[in-house]
Amino acid sequence: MCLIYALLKKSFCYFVFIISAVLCSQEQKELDSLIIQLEKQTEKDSIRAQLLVTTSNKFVRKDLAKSYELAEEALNISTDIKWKKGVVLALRQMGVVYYRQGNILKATEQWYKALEILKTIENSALLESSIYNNLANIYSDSGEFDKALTYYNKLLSISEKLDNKSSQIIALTNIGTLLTEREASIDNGIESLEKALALAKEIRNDRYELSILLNIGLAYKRKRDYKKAEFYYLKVQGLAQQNDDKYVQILVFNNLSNISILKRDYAQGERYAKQTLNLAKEIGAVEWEASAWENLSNIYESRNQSKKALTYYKNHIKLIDSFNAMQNKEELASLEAKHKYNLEKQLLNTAHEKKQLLAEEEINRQKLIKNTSLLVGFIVLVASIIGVTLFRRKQLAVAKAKEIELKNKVTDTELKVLRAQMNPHFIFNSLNSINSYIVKNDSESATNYLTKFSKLVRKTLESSTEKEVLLKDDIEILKNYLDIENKRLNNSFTYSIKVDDAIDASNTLIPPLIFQPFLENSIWHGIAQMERSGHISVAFKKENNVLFCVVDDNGVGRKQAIKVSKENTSLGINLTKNRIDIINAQNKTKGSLRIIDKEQGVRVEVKLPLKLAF
Amino acid sequence: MIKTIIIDDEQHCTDVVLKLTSSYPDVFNVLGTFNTVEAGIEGTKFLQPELVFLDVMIGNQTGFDYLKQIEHINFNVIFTTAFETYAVEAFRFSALDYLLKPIDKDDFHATVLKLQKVVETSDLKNKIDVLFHNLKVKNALKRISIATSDGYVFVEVSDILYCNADVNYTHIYTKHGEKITTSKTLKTFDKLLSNNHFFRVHNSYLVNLNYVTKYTKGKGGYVTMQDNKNIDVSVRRKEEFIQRFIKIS
Repeated sequence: MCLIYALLKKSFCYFVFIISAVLCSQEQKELDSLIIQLEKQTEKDSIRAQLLVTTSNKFVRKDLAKSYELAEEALNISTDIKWKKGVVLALRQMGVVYYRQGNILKATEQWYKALEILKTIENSALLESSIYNNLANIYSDSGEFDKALTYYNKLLSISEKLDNKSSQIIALTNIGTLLTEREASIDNGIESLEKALALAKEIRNDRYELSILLNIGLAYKRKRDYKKAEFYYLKVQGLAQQNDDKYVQILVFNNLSNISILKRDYAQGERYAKQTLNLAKEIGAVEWEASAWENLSNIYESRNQSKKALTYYKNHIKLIDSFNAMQNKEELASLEAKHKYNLEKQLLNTAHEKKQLLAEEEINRQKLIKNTSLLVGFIVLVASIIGVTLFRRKQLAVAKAKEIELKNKVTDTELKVLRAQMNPHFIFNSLNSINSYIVKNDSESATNYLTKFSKLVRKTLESSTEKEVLLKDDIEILKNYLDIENKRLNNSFTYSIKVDDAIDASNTLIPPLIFQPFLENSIWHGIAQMERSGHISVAFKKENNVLFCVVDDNGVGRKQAIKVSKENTSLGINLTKNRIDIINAQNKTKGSLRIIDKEQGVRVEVKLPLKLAF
Repeated sequence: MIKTIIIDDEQHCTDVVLKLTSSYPDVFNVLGTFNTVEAGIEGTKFLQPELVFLDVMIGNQTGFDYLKQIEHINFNVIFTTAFETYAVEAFRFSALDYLLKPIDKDDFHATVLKLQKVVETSDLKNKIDVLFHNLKVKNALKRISIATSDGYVFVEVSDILYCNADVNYTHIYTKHGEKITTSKTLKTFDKLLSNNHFFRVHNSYLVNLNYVTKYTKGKGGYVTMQDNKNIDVSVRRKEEFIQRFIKIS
């Protein structure tokens, strides 16, 4: 199991390596001379932007933070001078940096932005296919081989037409790498890689040669021809050291360590793993650091030193967790929403014939997002399977890591909820009311009101730190809230709260104060606007495994309310929607929210998974 | 009539208590009000009150500083506080009375009803001992005051094996083989002790995780306590229980 995991990650990074090579397809200047040129070229024009991208690409292998900084400057300059191609180049480069950091979502986001802009540029076939090449890498990571292959072939045929050698090399290498991933086509893959190698030697490009050799090494490793694999890796190692390419050195050492473990040469394996670890720490490559710890853990386990093995495994899990944390679901959702928004905007602006093209692209995009999430899911799954199959305490480490991740998410929402519950509106209205009692010299009412108000604030603060509270306690707070509002409105409404007999309110859990925004809306946008007295009824029912809650009022209704008050009232409702979504995502349930406009008043129906405390 | 004094550094707070006591003229006889710890000590010696309304934060000192300097506490204490969470927790553990500021009329009324019952001075002294003890030590070493049918029992939290709900009563079993029955609900103890290695494994059982010797798997499974008692774990609590249990052991 560990091995599969390691291989998956490995191949994923070989692709990256290739992509980044796309970016400096023009010339092979030394980094030093680039930096000097950059210092001279201080004018914020397209030349500097181009230089920045090229230099950023050089830095990808040495210093990711620096690389990002340069690409970002290129993006800013290109945006300022409205140089579209520059924007695309900078975005593509930023994507590569993100990819190197292991942040797939961010990477795809940059690339899609670039593709959108490309649609408005003429003669950009090669540039476009290079970005598709990058995306194809992600496809191949998530197992959509045919799709990836199609994009790679597209790049190959365009670059053959334009006689662009480096793009040909990239296409051939990626095709070869992809083919070697499947047992049946390994030999075809190696053939393709050899072709690429010949081309790379022809144009004397060390970097291409490096990555191709690396992939050939991996192919032989997969064929279990360890001798040949080691031969290629050592060749790569020499070349990488010459070029001071630390990233490739990490890959090589990690693979050599794997091979040594497979050959049961643990002393050698440990040496290589430690070299991987040192280099990965030096350049901040988290996933490789994690991989090195895993190898060390395996080595010590084989030597029956389980205590050390456990410590190393914990290090591994910790790093894997921080790697995974970057790619959580929420980010995915917001990304998807952003794409949709941009797409719609563009649809409006472009001519009709482009519509179809965009629609097609959107399907691809959504598939990709799905695949990315599948990939992320797969990584998490594999990680937890390892945890289960290895000894029990490892399981604890995984659980802990997951718990922390979830906690972070929940805390974030809790904070938002807290803010909304302590609606400033409500606070100041209450203070106003108290003030008016004082002005009227009605100290009795003022103190009554104030103490009720402070009780509510106290309870709200207490319960908002809880993820779930007992229905019984929550109803108490709602009553307290309704009483206060009623007092302020001179008892202008009545209310009832009914709990069905089938529900045990002191053994049913609900998220705290989830209904409060609806009550607030009913009161302030339904009943406060009415001439006669109103009524709010709250009912809790049980339907199978669902807690069905209905808030009903006989106020002026939403249309009228919008006329009377122009305030934005949807904040509380939106927040509740978000909370229900999060509950659904965490528990795989189907909670829902429905707002119905009645002839007289509004009816809100909330369905929550019925959760018992015991 | 109860001879009463008020110690609070903020005049408006004193005024509120005065206003509230004045609505029970047959109950309270307020002899004096003091706004520093030192003045409070002097006043106490001089006036020999039966009841003290005591603020928690008094200038840069506390109501606890005041109590420490009184040799024989032969009066009842009601703490008043706005939001000192640690203090409120300490009051709950020691079963001492407290009022949250701003003081609600209904809460004050409930306190008045309580005051009219007879208070054993020895219980009071013990409660205050528990309070001081808990303010000094860390979580696991805390003591707790438990109201029983014949007065209070004071128990080390770390001596409790488990608590068992019996309708409106709770039975508390200690490692010395004692069984204490109190009219407080299990929920009260759950709230109080959940930060001290206690876990509600079941609707009617709250167990001290430090005394769980074995967990046997099953639908929900059951735990075996140090006294060999088996207690079912509710299916819905199983996952959280295992997490907490592993964390401790």
